This record gives sequence, structure tokens and C-alpha cells, in this order.
Amino acid sequence: MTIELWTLAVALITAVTCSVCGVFLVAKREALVSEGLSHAVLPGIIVAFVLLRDRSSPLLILSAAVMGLVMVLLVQGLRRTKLVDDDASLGIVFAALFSIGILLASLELRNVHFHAHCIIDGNLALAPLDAWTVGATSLGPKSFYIMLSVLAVVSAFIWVYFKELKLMVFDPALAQSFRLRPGLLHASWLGLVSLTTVSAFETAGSILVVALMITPPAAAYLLADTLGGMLRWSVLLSALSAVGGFYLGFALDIAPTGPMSALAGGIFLVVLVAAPSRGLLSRWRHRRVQKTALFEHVVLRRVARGESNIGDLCAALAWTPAHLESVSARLCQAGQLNKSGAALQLTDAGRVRLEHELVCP
Amino acid sequence: AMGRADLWMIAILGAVSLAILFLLWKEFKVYTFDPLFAHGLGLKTRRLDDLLIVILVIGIVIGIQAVGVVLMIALLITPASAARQWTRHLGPMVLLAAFFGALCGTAGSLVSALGTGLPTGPLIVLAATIVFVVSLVFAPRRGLVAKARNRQRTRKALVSGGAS
Repeated sequence: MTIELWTLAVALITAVTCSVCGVFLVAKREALVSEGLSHAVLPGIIVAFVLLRDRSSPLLILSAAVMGLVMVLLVQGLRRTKLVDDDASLGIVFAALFSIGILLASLELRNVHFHAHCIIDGNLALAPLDAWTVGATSLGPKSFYIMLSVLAVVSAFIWVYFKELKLMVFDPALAQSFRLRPGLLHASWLGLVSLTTVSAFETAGSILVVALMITPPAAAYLLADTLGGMLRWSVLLSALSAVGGFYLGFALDIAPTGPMSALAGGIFLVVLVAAPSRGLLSRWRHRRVQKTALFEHVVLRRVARGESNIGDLCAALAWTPAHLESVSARLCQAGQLNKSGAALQLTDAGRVRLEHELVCP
Repeated sequence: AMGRADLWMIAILGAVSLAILFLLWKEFKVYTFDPLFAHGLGLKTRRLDDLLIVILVIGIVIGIQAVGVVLMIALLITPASAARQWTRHLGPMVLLAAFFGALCGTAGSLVSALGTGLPTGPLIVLAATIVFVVSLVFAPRRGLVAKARNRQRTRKALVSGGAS
């Protein structure tokens, strides 16, 4: 495979893994946990680096993931005291851990080169250069295999615990009463999310990991009616933004991670406006249909009660004559109303419609 | 990296947001605790919400200068959460949060300026976290220690009540 294809493969697999994790976060309404994790892991990385002095060691990822787990446990503990809100406890804990990380870094790593943009953007384009070689043959970039194994672990976890995760997301109290230990499941799941965040760090960068984790699942949330459907949509949309963003970046000659998350954001906007039943457009249309139906019902009902004079109706409803005219013209066209001079008359079809619609005394 | 001009800017912006908070104190109070009731009273809740966001944005813009983007979150949340532990009223909570914020800001800047070469922002946040943990554990009534003692007393009362 060429370098270009390998880069695309890494981007694709990173985006898909992040979005799969994000589905459960978005559905459980705790999307900001990913933001917290992506910062709280810093002390883990620094400590492991100081101890090992090796930037490529897999222990770095492991130590960072453990730090993420520590954050999750602290947040859960703080939440359990019922003294601090969920959001607040997340903010307090992750900011504290992040500042510990910065302090450690400034104490220990004064001479190490830190690239701010490397943390924010990642270095997807460089990923294929760090290849995994056995003997003389190159088997492709290491980050590809790292992300592949993370995806395998995450998928296996979801596959085995899908029912439990679903219950944990939608009804933790019921999960508790079934003795499914939602707290333990939640902590281990967020441990996996933390592992994913840290592994994706290297290719996508911390901010973009958050974008990839939240944006495609948020779009999927508007498209799907089930958790399974949400997973499928989310994988599809994230793959789309990974591939599209990759070629977009290629065409514009810039790092591909920016276009990837920009595209994901664009897809989200389109979905927000045009989603079939929950989109803004369809909600607006639905409201208009309901409004029209209500106006027609009111006119039919009044006429049925004997208020047939158009002028009186206008006064009673406080409508403009033009508005009443448009409503009654539509009803006449549908054959539910007859108009003779200034008087309106109910037809049989109109009577049938009134009987079908809600009845009140 | 802040100069005299920055300081003036921060002072003016801070004064503006404090003035807004002071002038609309009653309205903000009823809106934060019971938005529906505020709406029922005829307050323009949408406008109040916008104004609250404006104050928040001013605060964040000031804070980013001092501690940076990420740690700004801690500066917003941690002193306020600590203050909540000590009081049940909004007025004292705001004053206490301001006091804690000032205390931590001073402490963090001092430690950083003592020539340790440590960055100021994280030190401020760590100071705030320490204040929060102390408040969480030792505050009267709502603190963890007070709660544990209260539970113990209740249990004892229950047991002795059952024996007699």
C-alpha cells in the first residue's frame, strides 16, 4: 500500500473508533466527558515519559488511560456525595488533573521540545513514517495497528455488553435494580473511552478527538430511533467525514485532520436542518400542517354551531377577513364547506371530518 | 504576560459586569432558581439569559488572559462550588466565591513569582482545588465530616430509642 492509502486507513479507523465511543456518551448526555478525558490524561503521559524517557513506548498510552480512569472514578465519587452537580464535578476534576500535568511538565520537561500544534492537530500526515517493521518488510504504520486493536477491544466490549450498556444509558435506576452494577460498567466503559482518546491523540490531536467523538454521534442521534441505528449512522457519517476530509486536505495541501472535523461539523449542520423527522425543516413543516388543520377545524366547528355569517365569524375569531377567506376557500375546495353569498354551510364531508376529529361538548 | 493596559482593561470589564450583576440582582436571583416563576412574573427571561451569558463571556475573556483556555473552566466552577458548601444564600455565596477566587489568584501568583519558575495558571487552579476539597470535607452542615457525624448521631438515637 502507498503512504497515502495508509494515512487514509489510519484516519478512517481513528474516526470510526472515536465515533463508536461517542455514541454512548451523546446518548447518555455526557458528551463533555470526552473533553475532560482528553485533558485529564496529561499527568499520566508526563509521569510515564519522565520514568521511561521514551516517547514511543506503549506504556505511555497505558499510563494515560489509567489517568483517565482515575478522573472517571474521582468524578463518580464526587457525584456520589450529592453535594456537587455532574457538570461541576467534571470541570473541577479534569481542570485540577490538567494543571497537575502542566506543573509536572514544567518541572521535569524543561528541555524537551513541546509542539503545541502537535497536541491540538496531531500529526496524521506523519503517521505512516513510523512504520512497524518485521525483518526487512514494512507492515504499515504502528498507529494503524494501535487503533485497530483499540477498535477491536471497544467493539468486543460493545458486542458483549450491548444490553447492559443500553440499560445503563437509558435507565440506570432499572439497571441498578437488576443488579447489573451500572456504576462499575460505566467506569469500565469510560476507561475504554479514555484508552481510545489517548490512542487517537497521536493521530488526531486532543481537540479533534473531541470533535470526532461528539459530532458524528450527535448527527446520528437526529437520524436514528434506536441505539443500534445510532451506532450504524455514526460509523457511516464518521467514515464519510474521514474519507472526504482526507481528500479535501489533500486537495488544499493542508493537514487532513482539520478538514475531517470541519466536514463532520458540516454534515451535522445539514442533518440538523434536513433530518427526516427531527430536523428543523421537518419540524417547521409539521408545525405548519398542524396550524392549518387547527384553523380549518375551528371554522368547521363554528359553522356547525350555526355561526355561518362570514362577517360575524371574523369578529368572533378576531381574524382578518383575508385569513378567514383563505381558510374557507381551502375548505370549499375540499368539499367540506359550501359558500353562498356571505353565508357558509357545512357539507356532509365536512360533518364527517368534524366527527372524526376531536369531540368536545 | 500582562501589561498595565491589560490590567486597566480587566478592571473596566470586571466593573461593568459587576455593575450589571448588582443592578439586576433580584431578577437574576429569581431567574436562576425558578425560571418559570420569573417568566410568570412578567420578567423577560430570554433577555436575562442573554445578559447572564454576556457577563459570563466577559468573565471568560478576562480569565483566559490570566490562566488560559482550559483552566478557565476551573476558575469558573471551583471557587463557586467551594462557596456553596459554606452557605445557603446566594448573596454570601457570591461574596465567598469572590473571596476564594481572590485568595487563590493571589496565592498562585505569589508562589509563581517567588522564583520557582512554575506557571501561574495551574498554581491558581490547584489552590482553588485545595480550597474546594477543604470545603467539601470540613464545611459545617454540608461537609462530609459533618454529614458523617450527623448520621452517626441519628443511628445512635435510633438504637437507644429501640432499646428503651
